[in-house]
Amino acid sequence: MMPLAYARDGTLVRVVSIRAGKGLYRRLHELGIIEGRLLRVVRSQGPGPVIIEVIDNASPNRYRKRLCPFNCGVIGGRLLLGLGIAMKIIVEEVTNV
Amino acid sequence: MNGGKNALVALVGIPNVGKSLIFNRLTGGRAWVGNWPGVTVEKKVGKLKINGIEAEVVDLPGIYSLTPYSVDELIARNFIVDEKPDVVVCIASAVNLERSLYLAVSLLELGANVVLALNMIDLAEKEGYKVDSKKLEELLGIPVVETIATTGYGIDELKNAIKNALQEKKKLIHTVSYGKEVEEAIRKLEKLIEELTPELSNRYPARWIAVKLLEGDDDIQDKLAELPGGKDIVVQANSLRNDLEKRLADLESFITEHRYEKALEMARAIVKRVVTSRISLTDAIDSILTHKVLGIPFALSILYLLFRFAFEVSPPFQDIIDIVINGYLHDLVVDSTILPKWLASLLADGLIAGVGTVLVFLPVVAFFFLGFALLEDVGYMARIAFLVDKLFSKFRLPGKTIIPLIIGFGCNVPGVMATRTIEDENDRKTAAFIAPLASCNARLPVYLVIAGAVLGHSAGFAVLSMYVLGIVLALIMGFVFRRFLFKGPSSGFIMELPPYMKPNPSNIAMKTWERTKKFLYKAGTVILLGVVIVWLLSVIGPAGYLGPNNIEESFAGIIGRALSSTIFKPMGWDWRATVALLFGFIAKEVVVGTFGVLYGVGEEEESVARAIVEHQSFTPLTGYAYMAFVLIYVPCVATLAAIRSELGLKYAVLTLVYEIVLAYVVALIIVAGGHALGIP
Amino acid sequence: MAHLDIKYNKALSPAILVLGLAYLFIGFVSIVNWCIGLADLGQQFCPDLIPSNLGFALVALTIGASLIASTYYSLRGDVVMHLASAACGTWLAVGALVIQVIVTIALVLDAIVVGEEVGYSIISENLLRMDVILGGVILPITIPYTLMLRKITKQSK
Repeated sequence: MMPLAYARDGTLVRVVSIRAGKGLYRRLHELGIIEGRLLRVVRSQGPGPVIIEVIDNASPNRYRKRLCPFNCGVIGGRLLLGLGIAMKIIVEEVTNV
Repeated sequence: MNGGKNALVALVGIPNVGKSLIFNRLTGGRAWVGNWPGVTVEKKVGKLKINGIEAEVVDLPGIYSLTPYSVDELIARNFIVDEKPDVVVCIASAVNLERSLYLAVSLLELGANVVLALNMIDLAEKEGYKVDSKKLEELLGIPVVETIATTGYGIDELKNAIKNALQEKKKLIHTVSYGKEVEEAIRKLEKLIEELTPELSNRYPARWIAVKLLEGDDDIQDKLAELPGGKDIVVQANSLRNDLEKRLADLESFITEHRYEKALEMARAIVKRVVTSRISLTDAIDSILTHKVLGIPFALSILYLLFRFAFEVSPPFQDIIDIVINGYLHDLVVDSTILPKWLASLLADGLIAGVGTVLVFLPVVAFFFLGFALLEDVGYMARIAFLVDKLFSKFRLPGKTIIPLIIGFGCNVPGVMATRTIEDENDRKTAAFIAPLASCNARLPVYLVIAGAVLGHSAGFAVLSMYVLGIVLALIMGFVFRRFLFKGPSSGFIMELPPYMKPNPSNIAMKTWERTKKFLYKAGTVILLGVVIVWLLSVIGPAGYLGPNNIEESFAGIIGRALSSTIFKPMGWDWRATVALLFGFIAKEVVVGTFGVLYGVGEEEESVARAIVEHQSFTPLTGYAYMAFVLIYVPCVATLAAIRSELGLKYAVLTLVYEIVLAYVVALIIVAGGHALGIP
Repeated sequence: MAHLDIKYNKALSPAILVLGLAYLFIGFVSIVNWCIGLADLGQQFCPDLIPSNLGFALVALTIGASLIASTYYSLRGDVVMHLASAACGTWLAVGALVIQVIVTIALVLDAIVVGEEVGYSIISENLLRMDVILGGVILPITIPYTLMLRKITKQSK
């Protein structure tokens, strides 16, 4: 388990907890980032800001073979999270689903 | 219709869906831009004509939802509730469906009369999937129109859909069910609301109020508390919420999740993958442009080319303007026999010279913004924010701060205004505060002239160092201000990273014009006024009207000499240099021209440089210190005005003060340090 | 799908490597020239072909690094990165070329506006530069790499 800021390039992670106030928590939620959701780390400047894709693993649409080996879809529009926010999202690496 | 007047149409959408382009297509580019009252958020209003019906179109800020947590969202939701637009056009992106639909669902809950524009269907096809808009229409219960804003496809159908929606009656659509227990609580509250506060349930749908209360919406709670009977409702809502939270944990989260899940469900149902792709073009390019090692060199190279484009391609246009204004127009006035001498001087040496000098920069500014808009439209600017975020966060600033700074290299005025895109209030204020430290265009001639005159081979390097110095100081001061002045935890920065897209010429033209307009506006107003004042100071002395050739004895000259023999003594700057600084307060473009006038050699940069060398007004050391001083000392009046409108009078004054102090300190350090090292 | 690229790759890979080395070399020489100019140490190396300009050096080094990286990736077998870095590097080179050409045109226009003579020297001074020459060489190479990159990122069904 580690803050998202430390996640490595190209890995799949699951959100474990989000340490944020009401406003930020809600904002992240509405962008799709909430406990239990899968994220794909596209680029990380570890530790640093991250570019992520939010994965909807109930959707067989819009998946990319190379990057998401099981049936899942990407919630459109990848996100860039600054270092501050990336430190507030705790994740764990996912190796098998 | 809306109160018998024109119909009112609101445009809503999440960021990056092409809302501005659709707004332009609907209003034909005729828009009026202002501010939402009381806040520094831009408001765009335009007119739309469909088959004889005229409607006013309001562009609401780009938002992800309608919570009370951000100013933009409050503006949008209050507008929909208070102004009651006849139609709300929700612009969704086929490549960002889930978030678009989440917003659409939130709008429907608010009881708005929604028409959905499904934009960017061409991009969806490129990504390899199809969106079933008919199915979406069924699921949402509202008209859905497919559009491609960049080509204009679907715009006519959209106009028709709007027209139909204007004429039909609005029906309340219930799209999200929150589960048995919560729905029960909602029903209870609904009844209470309709009974006790009927005036509120006439404005907002009662169900929406009930849901918001259960979410713990502060804004609604406050509004209710003000009404008789409202407090009881709030109490009842809180007790219901406490009960529910015993079983469901955080209720707000629960409700949001239900709504979001609905959006996800709909997206799943209407998207069909047609082809799979291994990796997208954007991914491939990004693997280089956001590469740990190659990313920054590419960014710097691209910015370097942008600067070259702005500075080296504009000279012919600059010369045309120069010849017309400072040549023909100037001579026309000077040679005229109709005007009294003083008026001719006012016009020629004051207005035309002053404003003319600034206008000569118009091509540089325009080209700079053109290149910038191109990079922005392609989507590259977001990558730059990513690349610098790590560095900036060491100074407690979000990476996004670099964008206003880069814009500021063109002209500080739109740079300050660009800070609006920074979400966190404290981050935004800090960014606006340090934005003037970006070395704008206007300061360049000063650097070139002085460096050229006294720095010889190191001239180019010295000029570059000014830009670097500006950024370094911006970071340092940004850290200081963020820590001590605009205190508070940062809510960090989140940005959607758009896929790289083909640049759209009309979008680029629009953005370029918007920013260049601000530069022109400053030239036409603030500088005009300032230039007149400066002219007055320079031709009037204690002995009365002196004419334009006796600056030494005018008020300006006296002040200059006083300053240079006292405060500026350690720097070794003569009275001409200080007078130029005084005039530079109005607009930094004027500094070189002032030198020209004071030396009596005209404004040509080469002649001024020669004059400086002849008079030995600067040594390399004092010259460099002067350059630094000009970089930092005071934002030009127009920038101050921009800061005032963004942050308020108090902070504008504070900017003035801190910059003068900082400039003085830095110049002093340079000179003292140099002397200590044995440099004359 | 891979077989489509091999034909191009075999012919062009050595070109990419050579050009990469060339750009790196030019970048270094440019920096050397700049140092010579700054400290007034004497004659610069071909200052007309290789301007002693830090920005020029930056761009040249970036292009060189990108092309060398492309060769590295191709040896490692990472096709996507190989194509991407070649594409980005060549695009930057073309960008630099285009800017220099536009600047030269602007200089000519400027001379006309101001009324000066438009001599051949303007052309030779501004267009006979390494970024233009190499840029011209790279221009035709940009196309196949862009096409290959496009192909590999498109529908693969």
